[in-house]
Formats: sequence, C-alpha cells, structure tokens
Amino acid sequence: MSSFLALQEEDQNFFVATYENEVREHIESRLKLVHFISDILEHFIPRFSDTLAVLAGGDVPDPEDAYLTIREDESSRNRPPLPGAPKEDGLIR
Amino acid sequence: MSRAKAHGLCRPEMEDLAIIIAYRERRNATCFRLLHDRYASKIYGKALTMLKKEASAKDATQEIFTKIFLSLGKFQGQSKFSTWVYSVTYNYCIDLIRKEKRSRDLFAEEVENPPDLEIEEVPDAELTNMKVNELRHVLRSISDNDRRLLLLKYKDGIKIKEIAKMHGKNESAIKMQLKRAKEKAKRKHEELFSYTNKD
Repeated sequence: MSSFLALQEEDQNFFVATYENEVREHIESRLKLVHFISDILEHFIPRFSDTLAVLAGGDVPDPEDAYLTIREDESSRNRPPLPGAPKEDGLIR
Repeated sequence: MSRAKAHGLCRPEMEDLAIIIAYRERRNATCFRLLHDRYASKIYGKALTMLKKEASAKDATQEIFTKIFLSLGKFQGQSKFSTWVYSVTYNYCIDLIRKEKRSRDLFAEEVENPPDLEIEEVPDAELTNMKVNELRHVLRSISDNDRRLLLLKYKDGIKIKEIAKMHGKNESAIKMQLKRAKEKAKRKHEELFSYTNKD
C-alpha cells in the first residue's frame, strides 16, 4: 500500500474518532434551523403580503378566479370518450 | 428501493441517489446520517490535503456539507454524487486558499521555484514507499504549494490535467512543479531521516 494512501486512511480514521459526531450534530442543527426559517417564510409571506395589500386599501386576489378548476372547465361537462373509440376529429392516434 | 422511497426511509445498502430522493421527500434524519457518514471523513481528508490545518479542514467539512445539503434540490443525478461532492469540496477549498493567501502564494512560488534550477527526476516509489510517520514529517516541512501538489497527485489520485484546471495553469507547468516538489520532498526526507534509517 502506498504511504500516501495509508496517510489518507489515518486521517479519515482520526476524523471518525475525533470530529465526526460533533460535525454531524453541528450540520444537523444548522440544517434544521434553515429549514425551519424557510418553512415559516413559505407559509407566512403570502398571508403577510395579502394583509399588507388590504391595509393599503386593495383587494386580496382570489386564487379561484385566476385558474379554471375542473368544474368550471366547459369540456369537463362532456362525457369521457369510451376506451378505443375514435376521437371527434376522426383521427385514431 | 421503491417501498423505502415511498416511506422516506433509508437503509445502509441503498445507493446515494435513492437516499437523496428519500431525504428530499421527508428530510429524514437517518437519510442525512447515512450520507454524512459516507462522505464526511472523505471530505475532511480532501480538505486537509488542501488546507493543511486540522481545525480549518474540520470547519470546511461543516461548511461544505451544509452547502451540499442545502443544494441537494439541484442535484439531478446526471453525474455521480461522489463526483459532485468532491468538486464542491475542491472549489470551496480553492476559494478559501485564494482569499487567504493570494499575494503570499504568488511571491512564494517564484522564490521557491527558481526557473533555471536543474532538477533530478525522483521516482514515485521513493515517496510512496516512505514510512507513514516519516512522510507526515516531510509533508509538514515543505511549502504549502508543494505539499498540496503531492497530496493531490498521490493521496487523492487527481490527474495532472485536473490539477492544472484547478490551479488555472497548463499541464507542463504543473508537471514541472510536481517534479520540483518530489525532489524537495526527497531531499527533506534524507535530511530528516537518513541518520535514523542507517541505524
């Protein structure tokens, strides 16, 4: 075995014995904090911006108005095609 | 694997990508630990190669791992996870080195490597067959640049082409620096241990 590889093995074993747990806990707690803050921002920023819009005298946009739901879509009132039946334009794909 | 993925559970026999997908879905602590324990010591070893000091390598390992986990969403599995991890490690360390020692390294290189010096070609075996503790002493006694080059080449097995890319130099310049570094390491070894090895 090359002495460089032996040196690498020694360094890695030293890390596992000395630092591994400490480093893991440090990263884990930092990640938890970052995820906690990003979750809070993700949940509360839309509501907070709506509140600011209302305080400024505007209306809160209703997300239902912006997007058609399945009930509102006209094509959803038609009966679904039977399996294997040709499509309305006569093309079989 | 699919059942484990669906439940966000990770097991040691799972491959990196499966663990990453499970972690992204549930942020499961077991998944984090598996990836951490697989790569932390390797990242530390590479950071130690580049940064020399244990404390700096430990801090770098923490920073690099946090960076990797916060960017896991960007990892698409097009290359191996290990390749991505090592490239993040090298880029982080090189940035750190550039920030800390930019001016010092520029001058040190010229002084340490005078261009007209005749250099003896040292066979690789002379370095790779040294005793580990002797090698450690030798590496501590040579310059940061020489030590880093030798470790990148012989410890991490990085190709000359890649080392050149990392340092923003051409391959022949790196080959020449490596030749000088080997020669210096050999001389330092003789200086430190020739007496003890004769006994």
